Amino acid sequence: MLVIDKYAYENKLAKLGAWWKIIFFIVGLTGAFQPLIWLKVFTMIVVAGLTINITQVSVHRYLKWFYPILPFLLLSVVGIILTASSDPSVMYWSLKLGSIYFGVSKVTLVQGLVLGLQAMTAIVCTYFLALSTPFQQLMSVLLQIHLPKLFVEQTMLIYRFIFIFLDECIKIYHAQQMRLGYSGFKNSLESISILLKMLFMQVMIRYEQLQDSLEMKLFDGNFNLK
Amino acid sequence: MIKLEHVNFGYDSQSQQLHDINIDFGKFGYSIGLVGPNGSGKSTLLKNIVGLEKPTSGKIYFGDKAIKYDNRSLRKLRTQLGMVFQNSDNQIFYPNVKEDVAFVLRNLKLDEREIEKRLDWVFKSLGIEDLQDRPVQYLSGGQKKRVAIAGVLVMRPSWILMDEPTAGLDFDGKERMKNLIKQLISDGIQLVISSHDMNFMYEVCDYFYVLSDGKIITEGKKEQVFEDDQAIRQAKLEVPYIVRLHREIGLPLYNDEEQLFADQKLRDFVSEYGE
Repeated sequence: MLVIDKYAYENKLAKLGAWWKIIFFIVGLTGAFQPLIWLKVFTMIVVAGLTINITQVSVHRYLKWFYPILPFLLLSVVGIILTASSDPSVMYWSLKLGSIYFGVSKVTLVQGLVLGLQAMTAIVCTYFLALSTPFQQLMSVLLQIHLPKLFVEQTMLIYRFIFIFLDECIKIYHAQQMRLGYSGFKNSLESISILLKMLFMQVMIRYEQLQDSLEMKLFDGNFNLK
Repeated sequence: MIKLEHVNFGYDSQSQQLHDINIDFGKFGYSIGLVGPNGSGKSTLLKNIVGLEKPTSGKIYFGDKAIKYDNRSLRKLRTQLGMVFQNSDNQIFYPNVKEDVAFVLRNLKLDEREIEKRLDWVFKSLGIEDLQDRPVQYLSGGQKKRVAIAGVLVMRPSWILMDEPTAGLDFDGKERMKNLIKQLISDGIQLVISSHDMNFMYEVCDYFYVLSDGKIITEGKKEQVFEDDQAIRQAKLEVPYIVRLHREIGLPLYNDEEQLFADQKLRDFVSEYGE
């Protein structure tokens, strides 16, 4: 079960119309991308605080959700901040390799930090939307804005089957754990490869069963949505 | 009426899953049981009946006409002959219960008013009004089964085939399923149920076909079929406890638990020796 999805269905704003939350999300994004740094920080703090309040999630758990994103964000920021130049005076700190100076320049440092802050604020806003809006509401918005039907149907099916797929994955993983499948590096690698193989086979079996079920429900090629 | 004449079926030329099956479901009550151990061919037989598989030889009749396998004929057949699969997760595509149950109605191109009417009816008759706006992933196994049944019942078919309806259900889930099946029978829907849960099957079915290795080894009314010791042993089936009470301590052969527990002799016996 995806914990984020559970919060989306049980938070204080779950019953509020999706458009209100989307408007708030867009306002938040505007706060993230406008030039004033203090306003970016303010937006991030307000949206994060509101998210924690409406979902009643602990601060620790909320921060944990950023762990998978942080390495990518930090690498990007470092990539922007580090630069090469032939003039050491434009840098705060530099290292000479041959005739080129590698280091942190005055311009890129500010640029990198601003971009990092901007990205963090945007992620905080996205988490607000994901944690406050049940999928069903998002679907109705996708339909209202007349996105291509195929795209909406695919989104719906992917969402539905993420749960089935994850459930299957967890079952196999637990079965492997119980038989010490993850003791040691070599063992773990072998178990992961078996897990992937089993998942692939399960997907194929499920696909066949799903086909039967669709036929019995007179499927005509369209997942009609109201 | 569903009738099978000399039906054989194999997924490939080397192995044969069904051997010379002859069945006339229409002759008997409203609830027919297909019993047999795992791998005996129960699910394959059901898939053949609804046209998901095509017999390698033999004929299957629905009404008085042999089933045709073109898309139009199969579509017509499946509006009258629904099937509930063993794994409910494969039968529910939508993230929301109401949309999922409405799926088949939209495929039937019914107008929205009729769809709403039928949805109201099916949710009320199955007692699942409270589930209709729930996300599917948060339903229990028993709730998913009832939603899957709703998705079939909403078509108002005259026959429903159920493959292992109690698989994965706890005691409460089985009791609810039992009551639901009894309700469907009283509503006049003909059922064919496949399972190896013998106590459950004994209580909900009137007539049984016993399958073993793809063959029907015996058939009969429930009070007859369990007398055939040899067939029951061959099919490696458990004898329902009501039948065992009848055989071993001479209680009358009751139809279900309700009748059994109303037996005054049994009550007297328990009150005398139970202390």
